[in-house]
Amino acid sequence: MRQNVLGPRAVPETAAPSPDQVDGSVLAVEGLRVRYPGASAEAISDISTVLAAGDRVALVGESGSGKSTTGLAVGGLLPRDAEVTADRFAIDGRPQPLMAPGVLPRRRPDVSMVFQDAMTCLDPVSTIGTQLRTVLRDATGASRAEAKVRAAEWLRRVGLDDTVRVLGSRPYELSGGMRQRVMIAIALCSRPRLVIADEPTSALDASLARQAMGLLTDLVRESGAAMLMISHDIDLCAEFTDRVLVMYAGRIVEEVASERLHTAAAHPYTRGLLASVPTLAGAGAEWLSAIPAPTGESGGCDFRARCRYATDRCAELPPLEAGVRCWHTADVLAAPGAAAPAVPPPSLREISLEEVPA
Amino acid sequence: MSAPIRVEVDGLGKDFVGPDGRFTAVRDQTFAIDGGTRIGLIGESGSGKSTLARMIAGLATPTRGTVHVDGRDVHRLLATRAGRTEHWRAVQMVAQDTTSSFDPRRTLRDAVATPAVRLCGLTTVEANRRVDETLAFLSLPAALADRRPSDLSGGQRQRFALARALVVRPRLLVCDEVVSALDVSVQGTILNLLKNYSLEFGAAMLFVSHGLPATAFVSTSLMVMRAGAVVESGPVESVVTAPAHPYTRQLIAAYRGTPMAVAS
Ligand SMILES: Nc1ncnc2c1ncn2[C@@H]1O[C@H](COP(=O)(O)OP(=O)(O)OP(=O)(O)O)[C@@H](O)[C@H]1O
Ligand SMILES: Nc1ncnc2c1ncn2[C@@H]1O[C@H](COP(=O)(O)OP(=O)(O)O)[C@@H](O)[C@H]1O
Ligand code: SF4
Ligand SMILES: [Mg+2]
Ligand SMILES: [Mg+2]
Repeated sequence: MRQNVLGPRAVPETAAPSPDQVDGSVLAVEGLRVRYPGASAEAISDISTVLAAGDRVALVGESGSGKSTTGLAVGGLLPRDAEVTADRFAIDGRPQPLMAPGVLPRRRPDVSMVFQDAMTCLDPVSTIGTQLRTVLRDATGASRAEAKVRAAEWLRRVGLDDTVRVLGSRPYELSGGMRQRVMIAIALCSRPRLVIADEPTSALDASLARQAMGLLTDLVRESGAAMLMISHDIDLCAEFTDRVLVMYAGRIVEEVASERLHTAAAHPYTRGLLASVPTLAGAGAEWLSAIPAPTGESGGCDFRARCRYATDRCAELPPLEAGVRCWHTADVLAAPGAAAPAVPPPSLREISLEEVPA
Repeated sequence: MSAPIRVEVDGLGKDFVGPDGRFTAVRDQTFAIDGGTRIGLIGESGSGKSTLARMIAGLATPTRGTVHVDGRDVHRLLATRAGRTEHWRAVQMVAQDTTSSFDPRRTLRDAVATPAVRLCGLTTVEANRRVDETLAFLSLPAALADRRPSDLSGGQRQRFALARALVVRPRLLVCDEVVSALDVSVQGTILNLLKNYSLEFGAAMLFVSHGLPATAFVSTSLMVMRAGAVVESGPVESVVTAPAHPYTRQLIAAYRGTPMAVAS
């Protein structure tokens, strides 16, 4: 069934059990595409994936690659005027409308989202306590007194032990990292089936990020929910997920088991990402490796203009085959280091000298 | 090359008034930053890194203590117009949140050129050339400069914030989480550029970040903060290989748990 939804549409409330329900998939998408109004290209093209209960899948890629758009499409939170299509889209085996009916986007009841920008997601004028208690009461039917106790419990679970101060604080009175942990508590306390976390730990230091990720994954496992973890921290993602989906220019270019990421990744872009992550072992390095800057449209493989393995063959878009969308995986695996060499940066002094007219 | 800067931080502390009374965000800290050194300030969220950095940069008023730049009290200097010009020409800070740090009505070229005119006394023509040089250095297409801040991606806006600071060629550059929100693919480029700027211009840096490997790459020494106080400091090499404080050990262990990236 091809759903093409631009406005309100009716969906049978009680769909017959589909194979998904039998095999327990929490999320099943096939051929998901999104186009924003006025945009010349699709923001995401042909995204397909299945998440079973308990699955933890990472979605990584650079800014603008379509990670958040994918997350928002699944969470039902795209702007109303975005054009969404899919060959299949089901949560817990039930086909879903691609856009919730109504004027404002509404979040799907079984899906919780944790966003990267906590400041804009929290209500700036009410206290953390009020916001957390409201979600607890709405989502779990907790009484006023229960909600009060559980709000403090949730703060402790995300590592905010100074509960009295935090509950009484407004978002601007907390540090960036504290706000982010509050967001995680708010998203998790409603006991969702699918958690979509969009850069949930970018404001946390490494040990707290690990704690927060550990917490997210523990809760996911406990509840049988699935998790889609969106991040640019590819190593952190891999550590806490089973599978990594790498996105580039709106498409999935590689899908690889998290534990084999460093050994098996065969797409030049994935390789470049892995090489450009600074590591403690490389702290003494003179310069870090870097993928060359993007240079606009190239046609064919989207990565072509930045790719050191590109040939004429790459003028044609490669298919996603055996988990990789690339014509030259053999060359990449033979020389993975070529993806992102460490080159010295430009000199500001030289730029300045060159351009000073006589 | 301009004279190396000397920054002296003496008994610097800050309190905030919270819902359950007064609490201390930064306990009285004393240390110095010399020209050419790049100090990486790391520590858990809420430990007071941004608050300390903002006081050193002159963007927040201390509750206690002083900051001296080249022997002059920064917060006294900031009371006069001439003093402000002198201070901001030497010290620039790029903040954690760039969304609110640009005037939404002005173009980015305008925002970047203004400090070059006001602080460095350049003519409009000279300032525009300086802007172009700085944008080229940061690999920012000059065409983006004619846009307004809301029409850029977060990563681009972050680089414009760096451009606005670097355009005055500061002798101390304070960076608060400038790469945390950027893609890994641009992080490396920006970190290389910042390090190179400090090397070429002999500028000091205070680099605030919770990302230890990135901080270790950029910095010459590390300071580790916990609950408002620096609990450990020293050359990068020794802090990383022989951490003394339990928090530092825990932080390094967290990174050692990370699979190392393939060497290239
Ligand atoms: N304007 C303010 N009013 C009240 N409290 C504040 C204010 N700004 C910061 N604080 C508090 O001061 C402490 C230190 O905050 P700061 O922003 O310096 O932390 P940080 O180390 O930079 O953390 P992060 O890594 O999360 O950015 C926190 O407890 C925070 O809640
Ligand atoms: N609300 C929107 N309106 C128009 N274009 C958008 C909107 N949100 C995202 N885009 C565009 O869609 C593409 C994918 O963006 P996004 O999903 O936010 O990527 P990511 O999360 O990977 O950084 C980008 O080209 C971006 O500019
Ligand atoms: S298909 Fe060609 S251009 Fe694209 S990633 Fe593979 S080698 Fe590079
Ligand atoms: Mg995003
Ligand atoms: Mg901070």
